[in-house]
Amino acid sequence: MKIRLALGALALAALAACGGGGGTDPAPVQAPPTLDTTRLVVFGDSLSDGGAYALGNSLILQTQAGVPQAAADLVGKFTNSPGAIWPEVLAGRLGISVTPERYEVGAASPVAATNRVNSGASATNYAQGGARVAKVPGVGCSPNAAGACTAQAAVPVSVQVDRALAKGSFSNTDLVVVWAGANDVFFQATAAGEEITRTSIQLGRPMSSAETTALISSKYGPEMVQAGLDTLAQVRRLQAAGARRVVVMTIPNAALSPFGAAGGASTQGLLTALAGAYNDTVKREFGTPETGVLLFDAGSLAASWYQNPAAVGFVNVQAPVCDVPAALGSSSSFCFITPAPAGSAQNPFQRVLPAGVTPENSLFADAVHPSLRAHSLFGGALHDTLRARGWVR
Amino acid sequence: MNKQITRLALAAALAAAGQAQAQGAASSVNLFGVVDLGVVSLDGNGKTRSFVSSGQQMGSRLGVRGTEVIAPGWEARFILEHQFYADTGLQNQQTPVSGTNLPDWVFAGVPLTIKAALAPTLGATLNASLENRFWHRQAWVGLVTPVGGFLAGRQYSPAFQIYGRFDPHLAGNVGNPLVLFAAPTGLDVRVDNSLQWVVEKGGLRATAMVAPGEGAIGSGDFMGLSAAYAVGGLDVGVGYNERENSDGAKALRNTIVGASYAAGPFKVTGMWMKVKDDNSILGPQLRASIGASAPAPLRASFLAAGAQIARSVGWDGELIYGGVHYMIGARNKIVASYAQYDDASNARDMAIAGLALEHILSKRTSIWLSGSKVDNKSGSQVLPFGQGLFYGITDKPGRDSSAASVNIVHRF
Repeated sequence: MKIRLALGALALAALAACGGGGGTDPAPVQAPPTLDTTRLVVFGDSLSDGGAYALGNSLILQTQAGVPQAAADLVGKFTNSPGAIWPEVLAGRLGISVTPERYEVGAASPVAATNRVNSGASATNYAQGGARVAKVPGVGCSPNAAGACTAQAAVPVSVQVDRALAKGSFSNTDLVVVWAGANDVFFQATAAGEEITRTSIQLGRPMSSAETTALISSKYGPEMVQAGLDTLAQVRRLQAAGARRVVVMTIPNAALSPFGAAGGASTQGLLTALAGAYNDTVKREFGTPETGVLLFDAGSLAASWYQNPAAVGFVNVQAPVCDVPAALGSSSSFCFITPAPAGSAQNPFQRVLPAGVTPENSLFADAVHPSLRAHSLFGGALHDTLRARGWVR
Repeated sequence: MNKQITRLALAAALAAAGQAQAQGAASSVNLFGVVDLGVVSLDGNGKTRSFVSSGQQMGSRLGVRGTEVIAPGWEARFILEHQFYADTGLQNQQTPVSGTNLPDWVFAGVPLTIKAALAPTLGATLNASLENRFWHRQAWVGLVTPVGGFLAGRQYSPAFQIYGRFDPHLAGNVGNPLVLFAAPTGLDVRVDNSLQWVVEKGGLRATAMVAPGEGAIGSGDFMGLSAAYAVGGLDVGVGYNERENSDGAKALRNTIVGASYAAGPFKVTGMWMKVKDDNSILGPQLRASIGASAPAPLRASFLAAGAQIARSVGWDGELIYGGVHYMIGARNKIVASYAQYDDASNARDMAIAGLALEHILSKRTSIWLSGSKVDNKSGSQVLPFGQGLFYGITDKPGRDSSAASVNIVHRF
């Protein structure tokens, strides 16, 4: 009874359809070896970036925008700085601290001289804005002809993990979080948009929605499935290196953001399809409870806030708190907020919000990144879940 | 008694020569066969399943065998042997109780996303592999010369000839570890396109076989050798099979050593077999299949998964298998056996014990009572089987299984 392949088409429809297919019961899930946490190790993108570009961005603000150093040194995180983003909120709840593993703008950036490794004991946040799961270029890298990033380093999570593994293995008291894929969505959405435009020009008419759907499901959706598989591979590497508590997250759907809203229905459809392909893959791979991995559905949580903001005290889900000039990429990584009146010289990047709207009741810091208030809620929600699952104290 | 065993061994494992003398005539064509039918009860896949089934002991078959004496020392011979399932009359076996499921270890390390896409294809492949050709068992013709027989066609491999010769259960029975090597293949039983040289002299029998791969994706060239020598009650033999995959890399290799000793009502028989396959024929097949069908962004992941599966279905282990025959009077034979397989992959380790009673009603008709118990270690999913009949796999890794059967075997 030789296994001989019937060389038919692979049942790739099954990709979209179902999960496992094994038909056997999963292995029993075991509790982590300890609830004590001495290090929070974070791999990811701007949603988790603790300030990898802080030194570079500060220098840019000082030299290009004339911002005084004291104010410029407040920036670097992708939110309405200064304040704690979710890894810092979670670390605080766990009684520890977490800081960027290094300061690193692109090697070809004019402020690359600021790059340095952070030698502190709590320097375990490897996340970098713009990072994709395993591929380059990252978003915001702006590669030169040689491929070197002229802006954000946006080192992918796979390389972030390389860096962590080069420093040694993990211990039972490490809590590890992997959260990436959102920039793969932006990268693929951009590529898909360009292809749709190109094809429409060739056709002499707009592509039909059936045509764009087919294009996305045959080409750009599989790219996101691959990004999900890349995340799986990184989690397995971390586990092989001794990580016993790894949190994996789904990604927020960027259609549910000021950026998505500005893009209109077709852009939102594209973003939804791409994020869905990634999230479905991650849910399929990690949906069966397994020892040592916890899937946190950040995408659903973010969607619930966007769709029902009042439930968590938001009144504004459209106007970003920050209004950073396009010359600075409109990115909240340059944003700082001071007590001075919004829009004044001492508080140049705070948007003038309508009456009753404050940074504290706004969901977004820029077109896609969460506000400090959202970070606070998110870190708290994650901690609550971890504690409820018996993963942390 | 020994004659009885020898006869069975001939039927089961085919000693090509040696029967012409008995037939006497210068030329002859004989019809022969076995109808083997019974009831089997199988445990290990959720619930106890009992069914009427063909082939627990010997496998039902219908064959035509011919001999023509051309000149002194020169003969032409052929065998065409069909396999059938006497419970239904079909040429193909019933659907395995586990359907087209494959053991979990096949997909170890493969993302569920890819498993979900590949499992149906691999399952269909398993199903297709259970479909028999009309002359499934044997189809060959050859010339016997003063320097041995030269045979060509679909024939038993040299290593399997040794397996059958020293198998306490004569390649059948629910207690036979041969099931372990059924899917994926761990021992080539029959070889297509084979050219074989067989020499028999005194107690010696030696074979050499080659079979080219003929360009199929998967299987490549095959070669095998065997030698066995019987003197008095003692019988010893060695065999070797080697197959390449279509990449030209060494795929499945079997090295087997067997011995038996018969004295009075007793016979002790057993074997050691090394099974090694670092480059499964499934590797090139998966690569070709995936390369043609996976979407470009995922192709590398699918190919990596295919290579991983091909590694998983390889082999690196040793089988130790032995048993005892004991005649109680002239009409009852007890067969007790035990086999243990240890692989470099612990998920493959298993052991199987078998106990059978043959009640000999006549020269051609026997009633068999058989029972077996499979100890599947950590990840193995082996279910007992029947001759030429794959019942499937257990429902969980490490789940033990067992079978009991009663059947009638009629030879003609």
